[in-house]
Amino acid sequence: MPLPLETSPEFSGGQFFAKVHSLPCIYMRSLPEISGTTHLFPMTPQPHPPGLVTRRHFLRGVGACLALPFLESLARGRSAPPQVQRLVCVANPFGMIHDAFFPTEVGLATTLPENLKSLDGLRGKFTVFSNLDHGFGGGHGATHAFLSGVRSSEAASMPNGNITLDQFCGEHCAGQTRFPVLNTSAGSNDGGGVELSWTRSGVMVPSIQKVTRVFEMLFVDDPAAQAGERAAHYDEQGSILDAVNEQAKAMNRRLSARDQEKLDQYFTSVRQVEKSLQDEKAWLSRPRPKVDMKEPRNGTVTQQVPILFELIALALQTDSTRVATLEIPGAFDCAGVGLTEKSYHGYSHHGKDPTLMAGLRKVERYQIEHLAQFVKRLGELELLDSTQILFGSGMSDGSAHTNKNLPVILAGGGYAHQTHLAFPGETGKKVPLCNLYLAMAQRFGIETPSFGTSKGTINGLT
Amino acid sequence: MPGPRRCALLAVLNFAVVAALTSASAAELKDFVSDHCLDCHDNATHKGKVSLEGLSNKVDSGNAQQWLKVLEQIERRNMPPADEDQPTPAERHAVELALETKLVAQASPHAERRATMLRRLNRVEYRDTIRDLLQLNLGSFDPTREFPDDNRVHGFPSDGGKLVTSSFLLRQYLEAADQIVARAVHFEPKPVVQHWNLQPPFDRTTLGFNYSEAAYYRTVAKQPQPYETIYEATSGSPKGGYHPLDDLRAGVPASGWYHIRIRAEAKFRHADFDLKKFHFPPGNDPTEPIRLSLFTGTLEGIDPENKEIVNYAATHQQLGERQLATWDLPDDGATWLDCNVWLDRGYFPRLAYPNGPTDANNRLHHYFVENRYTLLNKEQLARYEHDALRGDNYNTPMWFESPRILVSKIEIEGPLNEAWPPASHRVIFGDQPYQSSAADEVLHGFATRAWRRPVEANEVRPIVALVRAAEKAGQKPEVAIQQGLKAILCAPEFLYREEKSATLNDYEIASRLSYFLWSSMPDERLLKCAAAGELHRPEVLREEAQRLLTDPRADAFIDEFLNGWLAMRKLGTMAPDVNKFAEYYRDDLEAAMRTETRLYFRQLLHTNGSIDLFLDSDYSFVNRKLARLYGIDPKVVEAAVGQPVEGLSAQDLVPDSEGHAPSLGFARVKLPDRRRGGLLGQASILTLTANGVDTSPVIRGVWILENILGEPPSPPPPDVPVIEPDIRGAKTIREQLEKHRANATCRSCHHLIDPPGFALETFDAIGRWRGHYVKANAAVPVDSSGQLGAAKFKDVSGFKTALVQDHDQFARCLVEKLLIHALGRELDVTDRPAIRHILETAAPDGYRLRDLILLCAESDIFRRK
Repeated sequence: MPLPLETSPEFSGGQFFAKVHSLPCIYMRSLPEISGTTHLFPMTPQPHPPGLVTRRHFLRGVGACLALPFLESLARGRSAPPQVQRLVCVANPFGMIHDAFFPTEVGLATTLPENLKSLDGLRGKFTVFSNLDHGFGGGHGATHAFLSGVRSSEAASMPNGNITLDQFCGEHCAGQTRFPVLNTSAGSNDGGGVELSWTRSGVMVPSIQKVTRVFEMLFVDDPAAQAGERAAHYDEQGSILDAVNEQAKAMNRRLSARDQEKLDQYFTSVRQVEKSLQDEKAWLSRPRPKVDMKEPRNGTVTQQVPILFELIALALQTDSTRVATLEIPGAFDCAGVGLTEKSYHGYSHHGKDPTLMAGLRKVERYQIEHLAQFVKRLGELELLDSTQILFGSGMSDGSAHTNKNLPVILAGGGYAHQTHLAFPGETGKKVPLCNLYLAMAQRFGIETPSFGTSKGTINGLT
Repeated sequence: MPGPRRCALLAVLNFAVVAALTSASAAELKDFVSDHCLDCHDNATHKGKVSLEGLSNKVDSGNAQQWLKVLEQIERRNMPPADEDQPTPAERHAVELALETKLVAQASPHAERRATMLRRLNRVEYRDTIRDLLQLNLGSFDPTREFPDDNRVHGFPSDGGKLVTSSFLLRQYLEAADQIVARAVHFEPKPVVQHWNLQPPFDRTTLGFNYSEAAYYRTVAKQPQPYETIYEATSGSPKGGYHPLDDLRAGVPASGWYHIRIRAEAKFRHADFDLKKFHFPPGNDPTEPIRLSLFTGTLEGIDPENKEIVNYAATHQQLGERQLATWDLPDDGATWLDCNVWLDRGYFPRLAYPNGPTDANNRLHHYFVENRYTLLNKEQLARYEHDALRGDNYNTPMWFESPRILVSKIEIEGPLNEAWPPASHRVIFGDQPYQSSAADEVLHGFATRAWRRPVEANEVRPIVALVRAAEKAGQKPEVAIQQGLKAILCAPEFLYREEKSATLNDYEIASRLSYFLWSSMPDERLLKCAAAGELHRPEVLREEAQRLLTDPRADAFIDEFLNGWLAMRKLGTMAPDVNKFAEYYRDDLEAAMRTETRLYFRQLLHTNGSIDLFLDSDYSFVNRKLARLYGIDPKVVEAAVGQPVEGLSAQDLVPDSEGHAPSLGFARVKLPDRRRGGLLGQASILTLTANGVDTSPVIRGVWILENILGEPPSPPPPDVPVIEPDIRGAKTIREQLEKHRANATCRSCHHLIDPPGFALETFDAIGRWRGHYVKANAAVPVDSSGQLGAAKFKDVSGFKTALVQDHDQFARCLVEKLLIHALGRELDVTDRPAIRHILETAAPDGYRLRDLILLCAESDIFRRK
């Protein structure tokens, strides 16, 4: 029998995410089928903001025809970073209880609040940040901007749209691994979604909610027929590009010097797309890596979280991807941490009721525990120094619906961590969270002067 | 006189005239500057840090910028300031002309710098070109949906230099070409016409009452369900309450026209609610007829295994959904509703009750349950209690008489094709079945149409080679040829508008004209004019421009020009607060506002009205809900709906798509006073210049300066430190801004920005009239007075009167916007003579809108790069 879900005055029909920002609308953008071999969106390296040497200028200077890979790295402005860099982002939709998350003092040896106790053995490998946020409110309507700093409604006015940090880094190393970005979720968005990942054209990337699917994508080869079809598709597009390149050369001869400069963008784009197609086609025929892990089974959120962390660790180890995200969504089964009264959503809207708050603390502790295990695991695999792990939420306090002072932990990445870095809280002195993201992007190896709403990088993090 | 001597004499005369003019104008300029400028702008005083004392009368590259600023200030009547002696109109005109002539003469040798740069088609142009090239009914299919947004300059995405082609976009072009060709080419046999005779329950997805109703007929009454009841409006954010026709949830099997018949009955419009007993009122308006709407829906791209997402998507608002039809239903008595609509493969129809009561927060349910003892008789009550014992008290709508629609039958047939293969296929292949030997011809023909100009046979050689290679690799001819078609759509000749030399050839002019007025490719007749070598003649250009403006494709001009000029695209981006402005959502005001402005513009265009009516008028176009926002009695609208309006068709005025809903209609109404009237009183402008919560005189002031007066203020200097003016004691925004203006740096721009913004302060963030700011327990009257140039005004009516008196500036601004849209480049000094000619020709008639557009098309800069 149909029963109403918990409601509160603003929500229609009892569905929580009737109010959540544009979730279903985004689902309706026609997304290419998630195929085994490639990523969700055609990924080609993006020309980054000014300062680039264009192909034309370069060729004028050198006067010779050069091999493409060299051109590629020149287009990025510097030689590639010395070490492969990785990024993992983990987020929940409802924030963290402040007194259980933010330490009261700064410094490497500062006491950790109750929810962070499981990180105690990892001092020097993580930092908690205080007073970072994106400078706007909106409660649930703003949580989707966690990794971008830009709300979806404002994306059109930003040069890079509302692209999130994971997609930004994924673009940068597209082609070098089978998947530029692996977006996963431990369960469904029933009760509240994280809406973590967004492309530069303002499309939300749906995360894969089933561990069986993630395992398949990473470690199970495609049926030959499917690979054959994709290969033929790439071949066709490659041939079309050859033909239109010829057309462009003929057109070029007719144009004025100024217009030729414009057509140059077309030539450059053709070259870049040709390379991407070649990269993607190459992955079609490469077999997937073999791992010791047995094929997992789907389950509840608390069952899938540890499996997903392990899959991500293996994905990084086998270089199947260098960027991964994990959403801990509203469908979190509280029974998995011994709670039976309410849902994750219900506990998060505790209204300061101590029983509910106690329940929420359990759910949050669970998340940090598994984060700590993941950090340890990457240490075992000797990947920790080259992997930046970001944990947090686009919501600060889920009960009060604030987005100021977002809970953020950064682990790994080879930084000299200081356990707790506190930034100014006064208006006019606040540091944008995107400053941290800019620092992370630069460490990832991207030469960029800005990310999202950054105003510079961040002090105290070396 | 013999030839050479005549030429020589003319040359001498010419030189003499120019020399005379130059020396005369030099004298005028010198006198003007010393009479009207040097008092404040000499080296000693140099007011505003500007000194003209050392400025040479000879305009050269060193001082051209400064002289241009001088010219602009004089033209805009900013200088001399209102409180100083003013030059006579004749003196002003003479010095403007003199200065302009000199500036043009100085800049002309460098004309190459400002030529239009190679422009790629922007998103709208790409989409509309595909539609016209292939005669493709785009319907729900938008090939540009994933394209990144175009960069805009002065609001328009037309500047060749700023439109970028990236590898991301090229990848999109490849994918789009794939989808486009798949939808255009149909080698398969004609799809069989299918028939669906649907019985209730049509929607088996929605839970709550729909589920209960079906269960009741199945298990309790044990009879076929006679109808499905829709009792709830679409509401929420995003909107829910759509009823999918579940038999078609996989979508129709083939794109095409579908005939849909629906048998529906509207009941209980005047329900006996005791509104006082509602915690939250249901929000329906019993003075309106009950309406039924048909929308599209799709499940493409949704993971079918995720039941929750699938059901959510089927019953909620979708990005890119289309309204297929809306009907006003007569009260009581079932009727048949009928429509022919285009449905794309994979899409299905969904029903909705757009103006019903909302059951958000289960308010209807709670109302009924709480009041059942008074609302039900004994028998009904017993029935209700019995069902409640079963565990289902969600069938309350069955027992209570709230407004509702009973849908008893739905019949769908399609796809209905008059001809097969469809037009898109025949446009490419002609009427003959395709054979491999025809490849050259097909590709050459398609390229000629797609590239909008004659194409040599050898120009398409690489593409022919592509097709031949595909055939050789084993592909069937019918498949191989499609690769060639895709290549033609990804080739730069399609994606860019080539303009080879400084003077455009006829085909290039044809494209310029059609993209100006249709955002799409030239049609056959326009190309015929080009082929005949006629199109560069101004009179032919004018005639064709006239023809294009009356074609339905000119709707794209209206939309794109309003998006660029008035920034209409911004409407809805700062969504008004759902609590403070609930009626914005409940009454669908955003769509209504946009329609008002579009109708207003369209009517002026088709009746060739004066552009003064943009500034001020005594009429507008409103529907019932918009009338209520404006404080106009909706009965006035009802009385006027249906009356013919010159320049607008009946379909323009009633947005019911393929249905029939006169109550949605817009009517031309006379406004009760001069506070509204013109663009500045229209809710669309007032909403997009606010931020959804509050108004800002600065934002509105800047909008007026940029789009009405044509004098965009400079952005705040980046290196100026943030000054915290002492605003203690300031109560209203006006007082706060006045304290800011006390600082000289801020004042230099804000004395121009703030007054127009204040004039509009009597309208709130969604365009309602606001005589008082409501703050805590005090209501502070809004002071909207100010000064525009020399004219003082007390309120918005006075402001608009001042604008109309000074309408030359507005005309210049509008012409500049039209030219930026048409030419795809920044305007500069050398364009001034052409602009002057347009303005001087149109001025005697009061600057009529269509005349201005036609003059732009005829202008010589339109025919040059």
